Amino acid sequence: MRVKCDLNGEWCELPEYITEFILAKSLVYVNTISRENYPIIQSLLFVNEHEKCTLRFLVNSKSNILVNLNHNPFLTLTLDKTHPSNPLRHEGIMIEAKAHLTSSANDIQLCYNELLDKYGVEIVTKILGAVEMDELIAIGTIPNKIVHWKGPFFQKLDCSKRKRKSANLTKG
Amino acid sequence: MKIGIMQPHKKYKFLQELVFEGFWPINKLSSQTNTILLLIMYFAWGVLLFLLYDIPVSFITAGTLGALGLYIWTIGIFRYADALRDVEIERINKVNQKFLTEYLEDLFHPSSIIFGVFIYCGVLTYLFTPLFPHSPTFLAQLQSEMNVTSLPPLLMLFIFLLIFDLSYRLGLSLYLIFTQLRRNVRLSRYLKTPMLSSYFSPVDIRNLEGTDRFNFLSISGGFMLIPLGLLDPILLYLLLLYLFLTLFLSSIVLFHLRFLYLRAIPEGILKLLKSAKFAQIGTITTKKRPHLTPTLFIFNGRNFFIATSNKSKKVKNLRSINKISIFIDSQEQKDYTKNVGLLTIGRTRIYGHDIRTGIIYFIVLGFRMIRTYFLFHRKYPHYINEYWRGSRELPRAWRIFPILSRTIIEIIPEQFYLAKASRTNLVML
Repeated sequence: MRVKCDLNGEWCELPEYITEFILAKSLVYVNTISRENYPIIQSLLFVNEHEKCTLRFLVNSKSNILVNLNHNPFLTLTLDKTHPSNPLRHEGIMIEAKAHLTSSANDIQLCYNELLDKYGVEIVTKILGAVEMDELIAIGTIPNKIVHWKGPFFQKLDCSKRKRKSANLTKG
Repeated sequence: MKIGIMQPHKKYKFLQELVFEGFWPINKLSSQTNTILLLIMYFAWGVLLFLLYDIPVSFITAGTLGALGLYIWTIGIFRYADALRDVEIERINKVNQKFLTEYLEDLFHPSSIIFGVFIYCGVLTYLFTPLFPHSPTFLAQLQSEMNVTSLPPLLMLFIFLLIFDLSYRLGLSLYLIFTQLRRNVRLSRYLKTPMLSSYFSPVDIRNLEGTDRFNFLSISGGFMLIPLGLLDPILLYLLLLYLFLTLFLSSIVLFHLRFLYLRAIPEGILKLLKSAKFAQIGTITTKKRPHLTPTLFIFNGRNFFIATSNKSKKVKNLRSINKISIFIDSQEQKDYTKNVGLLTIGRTRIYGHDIRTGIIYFIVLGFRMIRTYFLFHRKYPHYINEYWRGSRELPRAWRIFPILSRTIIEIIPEQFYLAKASRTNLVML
């Protein structure tokens, strides 16, 4: 399903294989910048907001990731599918995005319910721990640039322009 | 236990520093300044002796180099002591506190002078006593070379003082090495005890190794004493024996710490590092935005290595902001709650970002680069073969042309964090 999203007035168009790839993945790697200016990578459970081209996840209000995002709101996410023996068959997506933090109870509950639907009660409870809803923060990621690669071939999608951008296939 | 940024309760001092503290005005100056003043005093005294008496040039040259060696040695030892003294002992955990305090107590114990006293007594006995019946003593030889019946008191005092200072330094270095060996044995015991091993971070042990290198380097000041040894073959043999022994023992201390560093990494993490095929590499762009890509990696028991195109975004980012993180996880697909990840943050060494710098790195670190290539080949034989097979169809940046298009990035860990079950909280290792 090809998705066109309106990100606060900016167009982002995701081809079908990208949306399918995102839907098939369960863990996302998130890179944020710490207060000491070190890149910090963590793997997280996430839900996909199809029509908005955004990924969302829940974090503890005392987590490192939240401290980092309060310091620098930009984050990069990758989802990848590696091949055990052939590097030319690796596939992945890197999303450069800006975080949108929300402590609204509705948004948190909605994200929590979507996580439950995707992963099930047992996994979500084990990973998020026995926390109260008010200890959680929902993080939405507003994409700026999406890079899809398959082997050595890269496709760049720019989501920061007002006019609609078509997929631009590049090698290298 | 971060070496170099902390303050202990007690001021630990070497005996020489305590002596300095007793005399005005040198007690107002820092140990480093006093060392420079001591060097200047030796030089001025040597020049005065040369002008007043007919002292052989070889003797004065050897004495000057000896004083310079003394200076290098002292600076090295004080740097080493300062790095340990500056540890903020209140901020580290109790087990680390106990370990460090025991080491500091040993290191700054008054008995640190004992080897120096033995060496001093030995050298003085040798200078005043003929080795064989009727053979001249070292001082008698000096008298005959100067054509005097007795050596001037100012010269005798200079010789005694210089020999005392050198003996003290030689003894202190030896004492330090034995203390380090003892500390390593103690650390090894701690790491073997399951309840205590988790209190020792591999990064702390690495910092300790970095500090120990000061002592290793300060021993190199001993080579400046060789001209002094050339005045007498017996002294030369003993000096070379001492230098060989101290460098050998000091190397053992450093290699043992490298081994302990590896032992401080939990077994489960070592297994993960061996079994994991992919790592996520995080860098920061010039616009302070995070960048993240998956890559192949190897861990050589100390540092991580990745190979990439020398025109890649990673190289560009690292040349501007040399901070990196590498995340390796078990990629548990069936049960995410069992997923374990290791996040390592650190700095990097890029083995050339273009052909020119690549060649320079190859000249300097060629052996390491070749070894890294073979480690990659051993870990990823299918990958390397696949790269070679499909080389013609690949973009230039992906082709395996070491130096020409590819480069190696060495990641030097500064901190390890454990991430369990994709939780957002990280635990420092």
